[in-house]
Amino acid sequence: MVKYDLDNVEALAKAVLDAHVDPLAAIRGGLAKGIKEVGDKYERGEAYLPELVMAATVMKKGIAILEPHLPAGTDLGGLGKVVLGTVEGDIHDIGKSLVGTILGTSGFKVIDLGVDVSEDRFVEAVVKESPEILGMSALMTTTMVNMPKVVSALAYKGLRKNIVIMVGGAPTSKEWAKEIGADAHAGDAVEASSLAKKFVKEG
Amino acid sequence: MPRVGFDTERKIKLKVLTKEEEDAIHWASLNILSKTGMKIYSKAALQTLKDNGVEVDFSTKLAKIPEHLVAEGLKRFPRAFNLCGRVKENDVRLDGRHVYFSTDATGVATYDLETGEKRGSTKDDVKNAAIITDYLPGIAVFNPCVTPLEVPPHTHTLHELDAGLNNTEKHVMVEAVFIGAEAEVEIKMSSLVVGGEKELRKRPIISSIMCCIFPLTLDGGAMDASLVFAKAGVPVHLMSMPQAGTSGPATLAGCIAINNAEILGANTILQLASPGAPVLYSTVGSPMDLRTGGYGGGGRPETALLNAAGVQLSKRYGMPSSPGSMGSMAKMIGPQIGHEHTLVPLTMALAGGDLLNGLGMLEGSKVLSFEQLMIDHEIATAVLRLISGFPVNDETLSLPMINRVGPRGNFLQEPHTFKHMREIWDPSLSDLRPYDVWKSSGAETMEQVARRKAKDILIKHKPVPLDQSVSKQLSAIITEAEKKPFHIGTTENW
Repeated sequence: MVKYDLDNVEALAKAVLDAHVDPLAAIRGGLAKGIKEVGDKYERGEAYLPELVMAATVMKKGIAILEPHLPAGTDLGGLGKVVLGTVEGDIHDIGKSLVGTILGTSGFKVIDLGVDVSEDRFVEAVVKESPEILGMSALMTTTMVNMPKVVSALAYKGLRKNIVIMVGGAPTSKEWAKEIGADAHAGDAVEASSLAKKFVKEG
Repeated sequence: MPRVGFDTERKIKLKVLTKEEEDAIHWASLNILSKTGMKIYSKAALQTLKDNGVEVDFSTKLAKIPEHLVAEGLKRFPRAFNLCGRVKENDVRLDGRHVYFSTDATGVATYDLETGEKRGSTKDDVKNAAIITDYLPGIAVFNPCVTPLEVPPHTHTLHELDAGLNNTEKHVMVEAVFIGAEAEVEIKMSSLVVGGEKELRKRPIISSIMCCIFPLTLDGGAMDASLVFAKAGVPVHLMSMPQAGTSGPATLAGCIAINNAEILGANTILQLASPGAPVLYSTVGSPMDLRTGGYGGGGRPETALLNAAGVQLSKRYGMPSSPGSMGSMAKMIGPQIGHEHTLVPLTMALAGGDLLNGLGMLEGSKVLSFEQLMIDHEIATAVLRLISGFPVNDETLSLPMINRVGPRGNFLQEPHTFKHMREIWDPSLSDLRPYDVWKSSGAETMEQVARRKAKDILIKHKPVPLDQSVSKQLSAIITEAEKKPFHIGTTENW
C-alpha cells in the first residue's frame, strides 16, 4: 500500500485468504492502516496528490477481493455520505472531482452528481441519499449565484438543518459561504476533507 | 506620454522546441482531434461541423474533427491584423514582430487603494484600472481586471465593457461572455462607439476571450458567443489552459498537444462558420499544484515552457498569439510575485508572443492590486527594453568619440551621450539612489511608491471621454439588459 503497488495487491489479498487470515483484520490492520499512513504523509505535505489517489486505488482493489469473504452486514466504519456536484450552468469538473477523490480516501462515501447540476437534482439526491454533507462547486462568477438557490430550496423542503453545506471553486470565498447561508467554504481539496471530518465528528 | 509598448520589435529570440518536436506535437494534436474528438456543448458549433461533413453525435456532444478541415481552418484566418484602440495611435499591430502587454480579467476581489483591505470587486475598480491602463505607456490593451460583483450577474461583462469603453482610449477585451445574446449586446455597445457594425469590423476596438474547458471541451455559451463575435469581425482569443497533472498529462509534451488540439479545433469551427475571422492563439498553461490538487497559478518554469511552446506553435500556423504571462499565486506583493512576473513574461517576449497578458493580479489572477499593476508595468517596460536588443552601427559604436575621449576620459559631457541617454531604460518605481539619499527622502518601499503613483494617476489623469450621448446610450443598453435576464447555462434550449 505505502509502495503504491497496484500490480501485486490482488495477489497479496488472495494470499491473505489462502493463509486463512481474518479478512476484516487484513482490511483494518493492513489496507486501512496503509491508507492512513499515506493520508498522514499527504497532510504533512510530503506525499503528492496522485500518490494518495494511487493508494486509494490499491485499497479499492484489495477490498474488492476481501469484502466477499466478510460476514454479511459487516460495517467497514465509513465516516458518512457526501453528495457533490458542480452547479447549474457550469461544466467545470476537475476541482469538484478531486474533492470527491480526497473525501473518498478519507473514508466518506461520495455520491458525485457530476456537472451542470440543477437545484432540483441536488434536492432529489439529498432526499434519496440523506447525506451528512452536501458539496457544491462553481468556477464562474455567473454560476456561483446558483448556489444560494440550492440552499433555499433545501430550506424550503425542510431539509436544511440535517445537512452540512460546503462550497468551493475559484470565485467563492468564506464570506460568500456566509452570505448565502452555507456552513463552510474550502479553498482546496485538503481543506474540504479536514472540514468534512470536523463536521461529522461534531455531529 | 511616449508609447513605449507600441513599437517594440523583437530582436532577441528564443525557441523551446526543435522543428522535429514541433512536428510531433502538431501531428499528435491532429490525431487527438480526428480519433478522440472534442465535446462541444454548442448546438450551432456542432451543426457547423455537421454541415461540413463531420461525424457529430448531438446526444453526447462529441465531434471528431478530421485533418482536412483543420487544414482548411488554418488557411482562412488573417496572418496579421490590428486590435484597434478608440484612436488610431493606440492600435496594436499583431504581426508576429511586435510585443505588447495587457491587463488580466475576471478577478473577484480588489485590494482597496485607500484602506489597503481586500474586498469584493466593484465597477469602480474596473474604471480605475482602465484609467491607470490608459495612462501607462507600457500597457497596450485593457482587459477589465475584475468583475463588478454589485451588478446583476448576467450583466457582469456588459458593465466591465462599459467601464472600459468610457475610461480608456485603448483596445478593450471582454472575457467570460457566456451566451450569444450577451455577445450581441457587446457588439451593439462597441458599434455605438465606433459608429456602426461596419466600422467595428474595420476597426475592432474590442476582442473576446473564449476559454476552452480543458481537456478537449468547449463550453456551449462561450462557443455560441464566439460564433457571434467572429461573424461580426471581432477578434477571438482562443484560450486553452492546460493544467499539467490533472486536466492534462503531467508531461508538458502531452499537455501542449491537447492545448494545441483545442485551439485548432475551436479555430476550425470559427473559420468554417465565418471564414477569415481574426483569431489569436492563447496558451495559458501551468502545472496544477499536485500537493493539494489546487490551481497552482502561472508563475513556474513549466508555465513559461508550456506557454512558449504555444507561442512557437502559433508562429508555425501564422496565428497571432496572446500567451499567459503574469499569473502568480502570490498572496502579497513581494519576492514571489516579483520573480514569477518576470520569469514568464520575459520568456514569452523572447519567444515572440504578440500580446502578453496578466498584469496587476495576485492569487492566480483572482485579486486586483493597483500597486502590483504599477509594478508589473515596470517589469513590462524592462522586458520590452530587453528584447529590442541594441543596434550596432557607426553612430552607436561611436569609434571616433571613443578614440578622442580616450583613457580616463568621461563621456558624460559628450553631445553623443546627450543625444542617446533617453534610449536607456528609466525605471519609474525601482530606486537606484544610494542608501542615505533614499533614507533621508522617506525610505519608501517599492510598494509604497507604486501606491503613491497609482493614486496620483487617478487624481490627475483624465482619459478622453466618450461622446456624452454615446455614453448615455451605453448606460441605456445596460439598463435594458438588466431588466431581461438571459439564462446563463450550457444547456440553453436543448
